[in-house]
Amino acid sequence: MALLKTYRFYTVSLVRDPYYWFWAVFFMLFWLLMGAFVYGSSMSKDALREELSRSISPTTPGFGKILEDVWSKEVVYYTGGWYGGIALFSLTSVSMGLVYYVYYSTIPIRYLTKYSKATPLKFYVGLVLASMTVSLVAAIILIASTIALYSYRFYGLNKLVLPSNILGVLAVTTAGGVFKFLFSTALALLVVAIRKPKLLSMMSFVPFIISYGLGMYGMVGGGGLVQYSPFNIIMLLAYHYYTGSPLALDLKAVDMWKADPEIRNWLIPGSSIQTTDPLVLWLLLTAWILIFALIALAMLRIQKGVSVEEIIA
Amino acid sequence: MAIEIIDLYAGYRRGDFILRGVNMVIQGDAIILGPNGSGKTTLLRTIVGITVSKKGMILIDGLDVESIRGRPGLISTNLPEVIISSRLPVKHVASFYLDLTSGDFNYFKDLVSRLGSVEVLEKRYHELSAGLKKIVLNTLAIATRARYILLDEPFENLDPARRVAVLREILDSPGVKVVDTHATWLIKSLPEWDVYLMVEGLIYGPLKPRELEELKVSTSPVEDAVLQIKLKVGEVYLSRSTGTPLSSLESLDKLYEVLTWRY
Repeated sequence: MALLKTYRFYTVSLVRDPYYWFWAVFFMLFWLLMGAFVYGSSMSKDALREELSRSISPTTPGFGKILEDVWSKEVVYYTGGWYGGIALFSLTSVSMGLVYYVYYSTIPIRYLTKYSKATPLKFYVGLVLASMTVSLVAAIILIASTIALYSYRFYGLNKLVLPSNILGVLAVTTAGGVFKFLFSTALALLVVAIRKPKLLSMMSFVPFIISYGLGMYGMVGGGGLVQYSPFNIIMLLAYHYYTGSPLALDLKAVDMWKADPEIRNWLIPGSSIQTTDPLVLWLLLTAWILIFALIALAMLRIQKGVSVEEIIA
Repeated sequence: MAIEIIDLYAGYRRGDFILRGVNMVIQGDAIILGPNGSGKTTLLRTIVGITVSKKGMILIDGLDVESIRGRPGLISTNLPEVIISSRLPVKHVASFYLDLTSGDFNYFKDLVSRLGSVEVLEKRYHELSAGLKKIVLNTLAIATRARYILLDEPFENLDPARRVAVLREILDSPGVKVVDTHATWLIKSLPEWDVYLMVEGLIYGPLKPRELEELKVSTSPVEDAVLQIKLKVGEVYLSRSTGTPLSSLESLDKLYEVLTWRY
Protein backbone atom coordinates (compact mmCIF):
# COMPACT_ATOMS: atom_id res chain seq x y z
CA MET A 1 0.00 0.00 0.00
CA ALA A 2 2.82 2.39 0.89
CA LEU A 3 4.40 1.69 -2.51
CA LEU A 4 1.12 2.36 -4.31
CA LYS A 5 0.60 5.60 -2.38
CA THR A 6 4.14 6.76 -3.06
CA TYR A 7 3.78 5.90 -6.75
CA ARG A 8 0.46 7.74 -6.98
CA PHE A 9 1.78 10.78 -5.10
CA TYR A 10 4.89 11.18 -7.27
CA THR A 11 2.99 10.46 -10.50
CA VAL A 12 0.33 13.08 -9.79
CA SER A 13 3.03 15.53 -8.64
CA LEU A 14 5.00 15.05 -11.86
CA VAL A 15 1.93 15.15 -14.10
CA ARG A 16 0.83 18.43 -12.49
CA ASP A 17 4.27 19.94 -12.88
CA PRO A 18 4.14 22.66 -15.58
CA TYR A 19 7.86 22.26 -16.23
CA TYR A 20 7.27 18.66 -17.24
CA TRP A 21 4.56 19.67 -19.71
CA PHE A 22 6.58 22.51 -21.15
CA TRP A 23 9.96 20.80 -21.55
CA ALA A 24 9.02 17.14 -22.01
CA VAL A 25 5.94 17.66 -24.16
CA PHE A 26 5.32 21.13 -25.64
CA PHE A 27 8.95 21.97 -26.37
CA MET A 28 9.33 18.58 -28.07
CA LEU A 29 6.15 19.22 -30.08
CA PHE A 30 7.77 22.42 -31.27
CA TRP A 31 10.76 20.45 -32.60
CA LEU A 32 8.47 17.87 -34.22
CA LEU A 33 6.76 20.77 -36.02
CA MET A 34 10.13 22.13 -37.09
CA GLY A 35 11.13 18.68 -38.36
CA ALA A 36 7.95 18.29 -40.36
CA PHE A 37 7.49 21.74 -41.81
CA VAL A 38 10.85 23.53 -41.73
CA TYR A 39 13.68 21.00 -41.93
CA GLY A 40 11.55 18.65 -44.04
CA SER A 41 10.32 21.35 -46.40
CA SER A 42 12.80 20.35 -49.13
CA MET A 43 11.69 16.71 -49.09
CA SER A 44 9.46 15.87 -52.02
CA LYS A 45 8.70 13.00 -54.30
CA ASP A 46 10.03 15.02 -57.25
CA ALA A 47 13.39 15.49 -55.59
CA LEU A 48 13.50 11.77 -54.82
CA ARG A 49 12.59 10.92 -58.42
CA GLU A 50 15.54 12.95 -59.59
CA GLU A 51 17.90 11.26 -57.13
CA LEU A 52 16.57 7.79 -57.93
CA SER A 53 16.88 8.37 -61.64
CA ARG A 54 20.64 8.62 -61.18
CA SER A 55 20.79 4.91 -60.34
CA ILE A 56 17.67 3.58 -62.07
CA SER A 57 16.46 4.81 -65.44
CA PRO A 58 12.97 6.34 -65.22
CA THR A 59 12.02 4.26 -68.24
CA THR A 60 12.72 1.02 -66.34
CA PRO A 61 9.50 -1.00 -65.96
CA GLY A 62 8.14 -0.62 -62.40
CA PHE A 63 10.05 2.64 -61.79
CA GLY A 64 6.87 4.26 -60.50
CA LYS A 65 6.35 1.42 -58.00
CA ILE A 66 9.99 1.63 -56.87
CA LEU A 67 9.62 5.40 -56.45
CA GLU A 68 6.51 4.91 -54.30
CA ASP A 69 8.28 2.30 -52.16
CA VAL A 70 11.38 4.44 -51.71
CA TRP A 71 9.27 7.50 -50.95
CA SER A 72 7.31 5.57 -48.30
CA LYS A 73 10.55 4.40 -46.74
CA GLU A 74 12.15 7.83 -46.90
CA VAL A 75 9.13 9.34 -45.17
CA VAL A 76 9.03 6.72 -42.45
CA TYR A 77 12.82 6.90 -41.89
CA TYR A 78 12.73 10.66 -41.72
CA THR A 79 9.77 10.55 -39.31
CA GLY A 80 11.35 7.78 -37.23
CA GLY A 81 14.60 9.75 -37.06
CA TRP A 82 12.80 12.73 -35.61
CA TYR A 83 10.80 10.59 -33.21
CA GLY A 84 13.97 8.81 -31.98
CA GLY A 85 15.66 12.13 -31.20
CA ILE A 86 12.58 13.63 -29.63
CA ALA A 87 11.99 10.53 -27.47
CA LEU A 88 15.53 10.86 -26.10
CA PHE A 89 15.26 14.58 -25.44
CA SER A 90 11.81 14.24 -23.85
CA LEU A 91 13.19 11.62 -21.44
CA THR A 92 16.08 13.99 -20.78
CA SER A 93 13.66 16.74 -19.76
CA VAL A 94 11.93 14.38 -17.33
CA SER A 95 15.35 13.39 -16.04
CA MET A 96 16.38 16.99 -15.33
CA GLY A 97 13.29 17.47 -13.16
CA LEU A 98 13.92 14.17 -11.38
CA VAL A 99 17.35 15.31 -10.18
CA TYR A 100 15.58 17.99 -8.13
CA TYR A 101 12.83 15.64 -6.95
CA VAL A 102 15.32 13.07 -5.69
CA TYR A 103 17.55 15.68 -4.07
CA TYR A 104 14.77 17.49 -2.22
CA SER A 105 13.22 14.18 -1.17
CA THR A 106 16.29 12.99 0.73
CA ILE A 107 15.30 14.52 4.07
CA PRO A 108 11.56 13.72 3.91
CA ILE A 109 12.43 10.15 2.91
CA ARG A 110 14.84 9.88 5.86
CA TYR A 111 12.07 11.11 8.17
CA LEU A 112 9.22 9.08 6.67
CA THR A 113 11.14 5.82 6.61
CA LYS A 114 11.55 6.17 10.36
CA TYR A 115 8.03 7.23 11.28
CA SER A 116 5.82 5.72 8.59
CA LYS A 117 5.13 2.43 6.89
CA ALA A 118 7.30 3.33 3.89
CA THR A 119 10.83 2.05 3.33
CA PRO A 120 13.55 3.68 1.19
CA LEU A 121 13.07 0.88 -1.35
CA LYS A 122 9.34 1.62 -1.62
CA PHE A 123 10.05 5.31 -2.10
CA TYR A 124 12.58 4.76 -4.85
CA VAL A 125 10.51 2.08 -6.59
CA GLY A 126 7.54 4.46 -6.39
CA LEU A 127 9.66 7.16 -8.01
CA VAL A 128 10.91 4.78 -10.74
CA LEU A 129 7.35 3.74 -11.57
CA ALA A 130 6.22 7.37 -11.54
CA SER A 131 9.03 8.42 -13.88
CA MET A 132 8.17 5.49 -16.19
CA THR A 133 4.52 6.53 -16.18
CA VAL A 134 5.15 10.16 -17.03
CA SER A 135 7.68 9.13 -19.67
CA LEU A 136 5.04 6.89 -21.23
CA VAL A 137 2.42 9.64 -21.08
CA ALA A 138 4.82 11.98 -22.88
CA ALA A 139 5.73 9.23 -25.37
CA ILE A 140 2.10 8.50 -26.21
CA ILE A 141 1.40 12.20 -26.83
CA LEU A 142 4.55 12.56 -28.90
CA ILE A 143 3.87 9.40 -30.95
CA ALA A 144 0.32 10.54 -31.69
CA SER A 145 1.60 14.01 -32.60
CA THR A 146 4.37 12.57 -34.78
CA ILE A 147 1.87 10.43 -36.67
CA ALA A 148 -0.51 13.36 -37.14
CA LEU A 149 2.08 15.98 -38.11
CA TYR A 150 4.19 13.86 -40.47
CA SER A 151 1.18 12.15 -42.05
CA TYR A 152 -0.25 15.62 -42.75
CA ARG A 153 3.05 16.95 -44.04
CA PHE A 154 3.80 14.08 -46.44
CA TYR A 155 0.40 12.58 -47.28
CA GLY A 156 -2.12 15.28 -46.39
CA LEU A 157 -3.51 12.75 -43.88
CA ASN A 158 -4.52 10.42 -46.76
CA LYS A 159 -2.05 7.89 -45.40
CA LEU A 160 -0.67 7.55 -41.86
CA VAL A 161 3.04 7.30 -41.03
CA LEU A 162 2.57 4.69 -38.34
CA PRO A 163 5.30 3.14 -36.16
CA SER A 164 6.14 -0.34 -37.38
CA ASN A 165 6.16 -1.70 -33.82
CA ILE A 166 4.26 0.46 -31.33
CA LEU A 167 4.88 -1.94 -28.44
CA GLY A 168 8.61 -1.77 -29.15
CA VAL A 169 8.47 2.03 -29.12
CA LEU A 170 6.65 2.01 -25.77
CA ALA A 171 9.01 -0.64 -24.37
CA VAL A 172 12.13 1.37 -25.20
CA THR A 173 10.48 4.49 -23.74
CA THR A 174 9.78 2.60 -20.52
CA ALA A 175 13.31 1.23 -20.34
CA GLY A 176 14.62 4.71 -21.15
CA GLY A 177 12.52 6.10 -18.30
CA VAL A 178 14.10 3.60 -15.88
CA PHE A 179 17.60 4.40 -17.10
CA LYS A 180 17.05 8.15 -16.86
CA PHE A 181 15.63 7.82 -13.36
CA LEU A 182 18.65 5.86 -12.16
CA PHE A 183 20.98 8.30 -13.90
CA SER A 184 19.22 11.26 -12.23
CA THR A 185 19.22 9.51 -8.85
CA ALA A 186 22.94 8.83 -9.11
CA LEU A 187 23.58 12.52 -9.93
CA ALA A 188 21.32 13.82 -7.14
CA LEU A 189 22.82 11.45 -4.58
CA LEU A 190 26.32 12.35 -5.76
CA VAL A 191 25.54 15.95 -4.75
CA VAL A 192 24.42 14.65 -1.35
CA ALA A 193 27.35 12.22 -0.98
CA ILE A 194 30.00 14.86 -1.64
CA ARG A 195 27.97 17.42 0.36
CA LYS A 196 28.11 20.11 -2.30
CA PRO A 197 24.50 21.34 -2.61
CA LYS A 198 25.62 24.26 -4.74
CA LEU A 199 26.40 21.76 -7.51
CA LEU A 200 22.73 20.77 -7.75
CA SER A 201 21.82 23.21 -10.48
CA MET A 202 24.84 22.22 -12.55
CA MET A 203 24.15 18.52 -11.97
CA SER A 204 20.57 18.90 -13.17
CA PHE A 205 21.99 20.00 -16.53
CA VAL A 206 24.26 16.96 -16.86
CA PRO A 207 21.51 14.77 -18.43
CA PHE A 208 20.77 17.62 -20.83
CA ILE A 209 24.41 18.19 -21.78
CA ILE A 210 25.24 14.50 -22.23
CA SER A 211 22.01 13.64 -24.05
CA TYR A 212 22.27 16.51 -26.48
CA GLY A 213 26.04 16.09 -26.92
CA LEU A 214 26.05 12.36 -27.55
CA GLY A 215 22.62 12.32 -29.19
CA MET A 216 23.43 15.04 -31.72
CA TYR A 217 26.86 13.55 -32.42
CA GLY A 218 25.31 10.13 -33.03
CA MET A 219 22.67 11.74 -35.21
CA VAL A 220 24.74 13.97 -37.47
CA GLY A 221 28.39 13.66 -36.42
CA GLY A 222 29.22 10.02 -36.93
CA GLY A 223 28.60 6.47 -35.79
CA GLY A 224 30.96 4.17 -33.95
CA LEU A 225 31.57 4.00 -30.22
CA VAL A 226 29.21 6.84 -29.37
CA GLN A 227 26.27 4.65 -30.45
CA TYR A 228 27.01 2.35 -27.50
CA SER A 229 26.15 5.06 -24.99
CA PRO A 230 22.78 4.49 -23.27
CA PHE A 231 21.50 7.79 -24.67
CA ASN A 232 22.23 6.78 -28.25
CA ILE A 233 20.91 3.26 -27.68
CA ILE A 234 17.56 4.72 -26.54
CA MET A 235 17.45 6.93 -29.62
CA LEU A 236 18.44 4.12 -32.01
CA LEU A 237 15.97 1.62 -30.56
CA ALA A 238 13.15 4.19 -30.71
CA TYR A 239 14.12 4.80 -34.34
CA HIS A 240 14.29 1.06 -35.05
CA TYR A 241 10.84 0.33 -33.63
CA TYR A 242 9.30 3.33 -35.35
CA THR A 243 10.74 2.51 -38.79
CA GLY A 244 11.35 -1.23 -38.70
CA SER A 245 14.74 -0.47 -40.27
CA PRO A 246 17.83 -2.52 -39.45
CA LEU A 247 20.46 -0.72 -37.36
CA ALA A 248 24.10 -0.21 -38.29
CA LEU A 249 26.16 1.26 -35.47
CA ASP A 250 28.86 2.50 -37.84
CA LEU A 251 26.37 4.90 -39.40
CA LYS A 252 25.24 8.22 -38.04
CA ALA A 253 21.49 8.27 -37.42
CA VAL A 254 20.65 10.49 -40.38
CA ASP A 255 22.31 7.92 -42.67
CA MET A 256 20.63 4.95 -41.02
CA TRP A 257 18.42 4.50 -44.12
CA LYS A 258 21.52 3.00 -45.76
CA ALA A 259 21.13 0.01 -43.45
CA ASP A 260 17.93 -0.94 -45.32
CA PRO A 261 19.14 -3.46 -47.94
CA GLU A 262 16.34 -2.64 -50.38
CA ILE A 263 17.04 1.11 -50.39
CA ARG A 264 20.78 0.51 -50.50
CA ASN A 265 20.30 -1.74 -53.48
CA TRP A 266 18.36 0.97 -55.34
CA LEU A 267 20.39 4.03 -54.41
CA ILE A 268 23.93 2.73 -53.77
CA PRO A 269 24.07 -0.63 -55.46
CA GLY A 270 26.98 -2.89 -54.61
CA SER A 271 27.59 -1.45 -51.14
CA SER A 272 27.46 -3.56 -47.97
CA ILE A 273 26.87 -2.60 -44.36
CA GLN A 274 27.28 -4.45 -41.08
CA THR A 275 23.97 -4.36 -39.23
CA THR A 276 23.41 -4.97 -35.52
CA ASP A 277 20.73 -7.10 -33.91
CA PRO A 278 18.48 -4.86 -31.72
CA LEU A 279 18.77 -7.56 -29.05
CA VAL A 280 22.43 -6.56 -28.66
CA LEU A 281 21.31 -2.98 -27.98
CA TRP A 282 18.72 -4.21 -25.48
CA LEU A 283 21.42 -6.18 -23.67
CA LEU A 284 23.67 -3.12 -23.64
CA LEU A 285 20.85 -0.90 -22.36
CA THR A 286 20.08 -3.45 -19.64
CA ALA A 287 23.76 -3.44 -18.68
CA TRP A 288 23.73 0.37 -18.49
CA ILE A 289 20.59 0.23 -16.32
CA LEU A 290 22.25 -2.27 -13.99
CA ILE A 291 25.45 -0.21 -13.81
CA PHE A 292 23.56 2.94 -12.85
CA ALA A 293 21.32 1.00 -10.45
CA LEU A 294 24.50 -0.15 -8.68
CA ILE A 295 25.94 3.37 -8.72
CA ALA A 296 22.68 4.82 -7.31
CA LEU A 297 22.60 2.10 -4.65
CA ALA A 298 26.24 2.75 -3.74
CA MET A 299 25.55 6.49 -3.52
CA LEU A 300 22.53 5.79 -1.33
CA ARG A 301 24.76 3.86 1.06
CA ILE A 302 27.71 6.26 0.94
CA GLN A 303 25.74 9.46 1.43
CA LYS A 304 25.27 10.61 4.99
CA GLY A 305 22.88 13.30 3.85
CA VAL A 306 23.19 17.01 3.33
CA SER A 307 22.27 19.03 6.38
CA VAL A 308 18.80 20.47 6.54
CA GLU A 309 20.21 24.00 6.60
CA GLU A 310 22.06 23.43 3.35
CA ILE A 311 19.09 21.82 1.62
CA ILE A 312 16.57 24.49 2.55
CA ALA A 313 19.03 27.34 1.92
CA MET B 1 8.65 5.64 28.07
CA ALA B 2 10.62 8.79 27.35
CA ILE B 3 12.90 10.66 25.03
CA GLU B 4 16.40 10.39 26.50
CA ILE B 5 19.11 12.63 25.18
CA ILE B 6 22.61 11.65 26.24
CA ASP B 7 25.63 13.93 25.78
CA LEU B 8 24.36 15.20 22.44
CA TYR B 9 26.46 17.28 20.08
CA ALA B 10 24.87 18.23 16.76
CA GLY B 11 25.29 20.74 14.00
CA TYR B 12 25.43 21.26 10.28
CA ARG B 13 29.11 21.21 9.51
CA ARG B 14 31.43 18.49 10.68
CA GLY B 15 33.09 19.51 13.92
CA ASP B 16 31.13 22.77 14.20
CA PHE B 17 28.43 21.88 16.68
CA ILE B 18 25.43 23.99 17.63
CA LEU B 19 24.31 21.66 20.41
CA ARG B 20 27.23 21.23 22.80
CA GLY B 21 26.57 18.36 25.18
CA VAL B 22 22.83 18.27 25.78
CA ASN B 23 21.50 15.87 28.40
CA MET B 24 17.80 15.64 29.14
CA VAL B 25 14.95 13.21 29.66
CA ILE B 26 11.53 14.15 28.36
CA GLN B 27 8.78 12.15 30.01
CA GLY B 28 5.94 14.64 29.96
CA ASP B 29 4.87 17.77 28.13
CA ALA B 30 7.79 20.16 27.83
CA ILE B 31 8.45 23.65 26.61
CA ILE B 32 11.92 24.73 25.55
CA LEU B 33 12.47 28.48 25.81
CA GLY B 34 15.46 30.19 24.32
CA PRO B 35 16.56 33.15 22.25
CA ASN B 36 17.04 32.98 18.50
CA GLY B 37 20.00 30.85 17.48
CA SER B 38 20.20 28.99 20.77
CA GLY B 39 19.75 25.56 19.11
CA LYS B 40 16.06 24.85 19.75
CA THR B 41 15.21 23.87 16.18
CA THR B 42 18.45 21.91 15.83
CA LEU B 43 17.48 19.95 18.95
CA LEU B 44 14.11 18.98 17.46
CA ARG B 45 15.71 18.07 14.11
CA THR B 46 18.22 15.90 15.89
CA ILE B 47 15.56 14.19 18.01
CA VAL B 48 13.62 13.15 14.88
CA GLY B 49 16.86 11.95 13.28
CA ILE B 50 17.32 14.27 10.31
CA THR B 51 20.46 16.08 11.46
CA VAL B 52 23.49 14.78 9.64
CA SER B 53 26.34 15.65 11.92
CA LYS B 54 26.01 14.49 15.49
CA LYS B 55 27.65 12.77 18.45
CA GLY B 56 25.95 11.28 21.49
CA MET B 57 22.74 9.30 21.67
CA ILE B 58 19.00 9.81 21.50
CA LEU B 59 16.72 7.07 22.72
CA ILE B 60 13.02 7.23 21.98
CA ASP B 61 11.16 4.74 24.17
CA GLY B 62 14.48 2.96 24.51
CA LEU B 63 15.19 2.82 20.76
CA ASP B 64 18.22 4.55 19.29
CA VAL B 65 16.83 7.13 16.86
CA GLU B 66 19.41 6.09 14.26
CA SER B 67 18.04 2.58 14.11
CA ILE B 68 14.34 3.44 14.12
CA ARG B 69 12.56 2.28 10.96
CA GLY B 70 8.88 1.85 10.11
CA ARG B 71 7.39 3.17 13.37
CA PRO B 72 4.29 5.18 12.39
CA GLY B 73 2.74 7.01 15.31
CA LEU B 74 5.93 7.26 17.34
CA ILE B 75 6.88 10.87 16.56
CA SER B 76 5.43 13.69 14.53
CA THR B 77 6.77 17.17 13.94
CA ASN B 78 5.82 20.45 12.29
CA LEU B 79 9.29 20.98 10.78
CA PRO B 80 8.73 22.02 7.14
CA GLU B 81 11.75 20.11 5.82
CA VAL B 82 10.09 16.74 6.40
CA ILE B 83 7.41 17.56 3.83
CA ILE B 84 8.09 16.37 0.27
CA SER B 85 8.11 19.38 -2.01
CA SER B 86 5.09 19.15 -4.31
CA ARG B 87 2.86 21.29 -6.47
CA LEU B 88 -0.18 19.36 -5.31
CA PRO B 89 -2.83 21.04 -3.14
CA VAL B 90 -2.38 20.81 0.62
CA LYS B 91 -5.14 18.20 0.95
CA HIS B 92 -3.29 15.74 -1.34
CA VAL B 93 0.05 16.20 0.39
CA ALA B 94 -1.58 15.86 3.81
CA SER B 95 -3.55 12.80 2.75
CA PHE B 96 -0.32 11.15 1.50
CA TYR B 97 1.53 11.97 4.73
CA LEU B 98 -1.23 10.96 7.09
CA ASP B 99 -1.87 7.73 5.18
CA LEU B 100 1.79 6.76 5.52
CA THR B 101 2.08 7.83 9.15
CA SER B 102 -1.26 6.29 10.20
CA GLY B 103 -2.66 9.71 11.05
CA ASP B 104 -6.22 11.03 10.90
CA PHE B 105 -6.90 12.90 7.68
CA ASN B 106 -10.49 13.81 8.59
CA TYR B 107 -9.26 15.36 11.81
CA PHE B 108 -6.64 17.27 9.80
CA LYS B 109 -9.30 18.65 7.46
CA ASP B 110 -11.51 19.64 10.37
CA LEU B 111 -8.65 21.31 12.22
CA VAL B 112 -7.33 23.22 9.18
CA SER B 113 -10.85 24.41 8.41
CA ARG B 114 -11.28 25.66 11.97
CA LEU B 115 -7.83 27.20 12.44
CA GLY B 116 -7.38 28.49 8.90
CA SER B 117 -10.12 28.05 6.34
CA VAL B 118 -11.50 25.38 4.03
CA GLU B 119 -9.79 27.08 1.07
CA VAL B 120 -6.40 26.27 2.55
CA LEU B 121 -6.96 22.61 1.66
CA GLU B 122 -7.33 23.42 -2.02
CA LYS B 123 -4.27 25.65 -2.23
CA ARG B 124 -0.69 24.63 -2.80
CA TYR B 125 1.57 24.86 0.22
CA HIS B 126 3.90 27.43 -1.36
CA GLU B 127 0.92 29.68 -2.12
CA LEU B 128 -0.03 30.03 1.55
CA SER B 129 0.92 32.91 3.81
CA ALA B 130 3.54 32.28 6.48
CA GLY B 131 0.84 32.04 9.16
CA LEU B 132 -1.29 29.57 7.20
CA LYS B 133 1.78 27.47 6.41
CA LYS B 134 2.45 27.25 10.12
CA ILE B 135 -1.16 26.22 10.76
CA VAL B 136 -0.92 23.46 8.13
CA LEU B 137 2.35 22.14 9.59
CA ASN B 138 1.08 22.28 13.20
CA THR B 139 -2.13 20.55 12.19
CA LEU B 140 -0.29 17.86 10.25
CA ALA B 141 1.83 17.14 13.33
CA ILE B 142 -1.19 17.06 15.65
CA ALA B 143 -3.35 14.98 13.27
CA THR B 144 -0.67 12.29 13.12
CA ARG B 145 -1.73 11.52 16.70
CA ALA B 146 1.78 10.41 17.51
CA ARG B 147 3.07 9.46 20.95
CA TYR B 148 5.51 12.38 20.83
CA ILE B 149 4.56 15.61 19.07
CA LEU B 150 7.51 17.94 18.47
CA LEU B 151 6.49 21.48 17.59
CA ASP B 152 9.01 24.05 16.45
CA GLU B 153 7.86 27.64 17.09
CA PRO B 154 4.19 26.68 16.62
CA PHE B 155 2.94 30.24 17.25
CA GLU B 156 5.30 32.02 14.89
CA ASN B 157 3.53 34.28 12.35
CA LEU B 158 0.09 33.60 13.88
CA ASP B 159 -2.30 36.38 14.85
CA PRO B 160 -3.24 36.55 18.56
CA ALA B 161 -6.60 34.81 18.14
CA ARG B 162 -5.07 31.94 16.20
CA ARG B 163 -2.25 31.60 18.72
CA VAL B 164 -4.79 30.92 21.44
CA ALA B 165 -6.75 28.52 19.21
CA VAL B 166 -3.59 26.61 18.28
CA LEU B 167 -2.52 26.45 21.91
CA ARG B 168 -5.90 24.99 22.82
CA GLU B 169 -5.54 22.27 20.15
CA ILE B 170 -2.04 21.48 21.36
CA LEU B 171 -3.25 21.15 24.93
CA ASP B 172 -6.16 18.91 23.88
CA SER B 173 -4.08 16.58 21.74
CA PRO B 174 -3.03 13.29 23.29
CA GLY B 175 0.62 12.31 23.48
CA VAL B 176 3.66 14.03 24.92
CA LYS B 177 4.11 17.50 23.49
CA VAL B 178 7.52 19.12 23.14
CA VAL B 179 7.26 22.76 22.11
CA ASP B 180 10.20 25.01 21.40
CA THR B 181 9.55 28.70 21.28
CA HIS B 182 10.87 32.08 22.24
CA ALA B 183 7.34 33.20 23.14
CA THR B 184 6.85 33.44 26.89
CA TRP B 185 3.20 34.59 26.97
CA LEU B 186 1.94 31.01 27.01
CA ILE B 187 3.78 29.82 30.09
CA LYS B 188 0.91 30.74 32.43
CA SER B 189 -1.34 28.44 30.39
CA LEU B 190 0.96 25.49 30.92
CA PRO B 191 1.31 25.15 34.70
CA GLU B 192 2.06 21.42 34.62
CA TRP B 193 4.58 21.48 31.78
CA ASP B 194 8.32 21.20 32.27
CA VAL B 195 10.14 24.33 31.22
CA TYR B 196 13.67 24.12 29.87
CA LEU B 197 15.92 27.02 28.97
CA MET B 198 18.17 26.63 25.97
CA VAL B 199 21.09 28.98 25.59
CA GLU B 200 24.12 28.73 23.32
CA GLY B 201 23.58 25.05 22.59
CA LEU B 202 23.09 23.91 26.17
CA ILE B 203 19.88 23.00 27.97
CA TYR B 204 18.97 23.98 31.54
CA GLY B 205 16.07 22.70 33.64
CA PRO B 206 13.49 21.45 34.02
CA LEU B 207 11.51 23.89 36.12
CA LYS B 208 7.79 24.32 36.50
CA PRO B 209 6.45 27.66 35.16
CA ARG B 210 5.66 28.86 38.69
CA GLU B 211 9.18 28.08 39.88
CA LEU B 212 10.61 30.04 36.99
CA GLU B 213 8.54 33.11 37.77
CA GLU B 214 9.68 33.02 41.39
CA LEU B 215 13.36 33.03 40.48
CA LYS B 216 15.70 35.99 40.54
CA VAL B 217 18.35 36.68 37.98
CA SER B 218 21.86 37.83 38.69
CA THR B 219 25.08 38.14 36.75
CA SER B 220 27.13 37.81 39.96
CA PRO B 221 27.82 34.38 41.45
CA VAL B 222 25.08 33.18 43.79
CA GLU B 223 25.51 30.32 46.24
CA ASP B 224 22.01 28.87 46.11
CA ALA B 225 21.67 29.12 42.33
CA VAL B 226 18.96 26.89 40.91
CA LEU B 227 20.38 27.28 37.44
CA GLN B 228 23.84 28.43 36.45
CA ILE B 229 23.77 29.39 32.79
CA LYS B 230 27.12 29.42 31.02
CA LEU B 231 27.47 32.00 28.30
CA LYS B 232 30.51 32.63 26.11
CA VAL B 233 30.96 36.00 27.80
CA GLY B 234 30.25 35.02 31.38
CA GLU B 235 27.63 33.36 33.56
CA VAL B 236 24.06 34.12 34.62
CA TYR B 237 22.60 32.77 37.87
CA LEU B 238 18.96 32.05 38.58
CA SER B 239 18.26 31.69 42.28
CA ARG B 240 15.49 32.11 44.79
CA SER B 241 17.40 34.63 46.88
CA THR B 242 19.55 37.06 44.95
CA GLY B 243 19.10 39.35 41.97
CA THR B 244 16.27 40.90 40.02
CA PRO B 245 13.01 38.97 40.31
CA LEU B 246 11.91 37.68 36.94
CA SER B 247 8.36 38.64 37.95
CA SER B 248 9.45 42.28 38.19
CA LEU B 249 10.62 42.34 34.59
CA GLU B 250 8.15 43.90 32.18
CA SER B 251 7.69 40.42 30.81
CA LEU B 252 9.58 37.19 30.84
CA ASP B 253 10.88 38.21 27.43
CA LYS B 254 13.36 40.37 29.32
CA LEU B 255 15.05 37.16 30.36
CA TYR B 256 16.39 36.89 26.83
CA GLU B 257 18.13 40.20 27.23
CA VAL B 258 19.87 38.72 30.26
CA LEU B 259 20.72 35.57 28.39
CA THR B 260 22.16 37.49 25.49
CA TRP B 261 24.12 39.63 27.98
CA ARG B 262 22.45 42.91 27.24
CA TYR B 263 20.60 43.24 30.55
